[in-house]
Amino acid sequence: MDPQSQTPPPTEVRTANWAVLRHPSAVVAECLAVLFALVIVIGRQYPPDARLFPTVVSVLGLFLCAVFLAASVLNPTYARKNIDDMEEAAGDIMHFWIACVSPPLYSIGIYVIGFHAATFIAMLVMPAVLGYPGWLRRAGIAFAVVLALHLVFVVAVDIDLPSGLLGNYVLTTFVYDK
Amino acid sequence: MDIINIGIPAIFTVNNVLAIVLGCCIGLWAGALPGLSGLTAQAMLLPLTFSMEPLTALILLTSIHTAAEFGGSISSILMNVPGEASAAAAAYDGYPMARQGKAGIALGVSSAASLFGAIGGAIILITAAKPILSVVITFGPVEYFALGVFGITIVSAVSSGLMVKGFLMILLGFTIGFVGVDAVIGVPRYTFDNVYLQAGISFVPVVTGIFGISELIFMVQRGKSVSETGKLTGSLWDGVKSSIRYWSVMLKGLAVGSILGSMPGIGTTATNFLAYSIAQRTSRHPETFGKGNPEGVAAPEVANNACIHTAMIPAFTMGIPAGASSALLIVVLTIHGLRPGQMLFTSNPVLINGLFAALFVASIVSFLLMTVFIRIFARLTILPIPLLAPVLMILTLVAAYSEKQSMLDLFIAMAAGVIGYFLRRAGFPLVNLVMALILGKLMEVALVQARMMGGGSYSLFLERPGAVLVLVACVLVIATSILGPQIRRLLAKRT
Repeated sequence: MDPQSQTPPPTEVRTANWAVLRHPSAVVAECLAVLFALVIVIGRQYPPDARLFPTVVSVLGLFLCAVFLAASVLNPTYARKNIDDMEEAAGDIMHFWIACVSPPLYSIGIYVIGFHAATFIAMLVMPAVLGYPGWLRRAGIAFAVVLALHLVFVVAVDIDLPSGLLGNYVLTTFVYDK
Repeated sequence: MDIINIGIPAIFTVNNVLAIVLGCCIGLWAGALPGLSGLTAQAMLLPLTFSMEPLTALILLTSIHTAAEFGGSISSILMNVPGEASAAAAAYDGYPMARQGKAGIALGVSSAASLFGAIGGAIILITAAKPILSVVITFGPVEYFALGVFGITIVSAVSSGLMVKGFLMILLGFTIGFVGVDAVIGVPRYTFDNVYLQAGISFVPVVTGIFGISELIFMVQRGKSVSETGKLTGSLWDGVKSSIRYWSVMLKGLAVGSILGSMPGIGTTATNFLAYSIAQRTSRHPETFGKGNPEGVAAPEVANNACIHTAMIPAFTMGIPAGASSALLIVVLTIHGLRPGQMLFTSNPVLINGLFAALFVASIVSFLLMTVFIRIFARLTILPIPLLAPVLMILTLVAAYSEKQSMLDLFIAMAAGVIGYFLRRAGFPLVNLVMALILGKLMEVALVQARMMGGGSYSLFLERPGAVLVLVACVLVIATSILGPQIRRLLAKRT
């Protein structure tokens, strides 16, 4: 057999898998890298002793982000282990948005109408949106929850829960001005 | 013997018994409810203690604190929201157990472990105060920094998933802690001239958001109830009986809690996480942690209950509070004309022995109260999610609000919750972030102080034998975590 006609054995070429950079954990690492870079840049205005620890931490963070992203792109086994770490979430996108939107709406409600009213409405509306039947039962539970929280936090422990813009207006106009 | 001859008769008066029972009832509920804490309850009742006898005042405050540590794990286990920050680690295995319908068993293990830790911590306080103190007073900034590195190393080495992700969460936790006024020089950092940010991003809204809001999102997506089976299996007493099997883990937790509790600045929260991490690291089946392993509930609960009792060692012997709660006890002593130190022990035997005896009684009373209330609490896990989710949301946001009573803390909690959700989805371990948030400031201050003591160099880290040992241990832990699986694979191939 002519050695020159022999084709060389195929060498295993490890090709980079750039699609991994769109994976959730890679996106987190990219965001962290941006954060660490910002910490270094903003930290330059502070005295040396004040910026020492943030700089050390951020440089280390940038290095680890680079290592993580490079390993994910170049090593399929590493990328697979990464996927195994992920926590699955059941359910649909609608429930995700309900859970994400409810706390800010509730917080805005506390700011505008006060803790007690916002809590009552939250206990009335959120179970209904999530599919719990019986408006009378929901109203009873809502009242009991508001009462219990008031007794524990306001009466027993004396924590000032916010009255909200509406509550402050009512107190100022009808109570304090008398 | 003085505890039996002097202490026990001293506590069995009407006032002192009432103080124990009332303190335990208040403490248990304060610890169980997110938004309250044992410290809050102690601070509220502090003015009432001024008119009491010194022993009664100390008994009331310590009973509240003891019971709060018992109760703190209840909401951790049932809803993944820690009632006390020092009970956060119990959620890592307690909540998965609740999801498997074993809430009663988890709470039983937690109660038994808390009792073991509380009584063990009290025994160590009484018998080993002097030797522990003789070691602790030699600790300086170098040792504190080394301990901080050890803590985050252990947590990273045992965190689930890739170690790099664990280290990145540590660094993120440090970064969050940079916001605010620099602890050493007093320069505002990363505050963008915002008055709120100058006080720093508070630990409480971040932790309640990360645990509570992120869990709210998962819970609402999941539906049904916390218990995946929709029913409860096993009882409190099954959990108490099974905890006897975990005696070695509980002893490790006791050692961690007792030693770290007597060190000012470390605190019950860091102790809680460290005990969990050490238990996982030294377990024969570390891969089962985080999936409902009762050892993951037992170890941190023993540690945090032991910690609160040994925290009295530096407080009563040197007047140095190990934490906020022991600081309140020093205030009570001062108000009643007493001074911490050797004289307190020699000239007030009734006070000291009565207090020590009360620690044992309060621990037992707290355990008994847990057995009464746990049946009610465990049923929360079979409530439908549409009812439980809004309650979880409300309690989490109230907890975030109640610390500084600032609306901005609500938004911090929500942001932390959404970020926590995506971090969990992407497989980044949150325990590392929380640990770094706790230890970050302590480590930074210690590092800068060590550099100042070394005249601008870091040579002290190589000159202090304790610090060298701890840092070498950290390197070994990382090396075994990285090389261990490779070596095991090589050996498996050869055989």
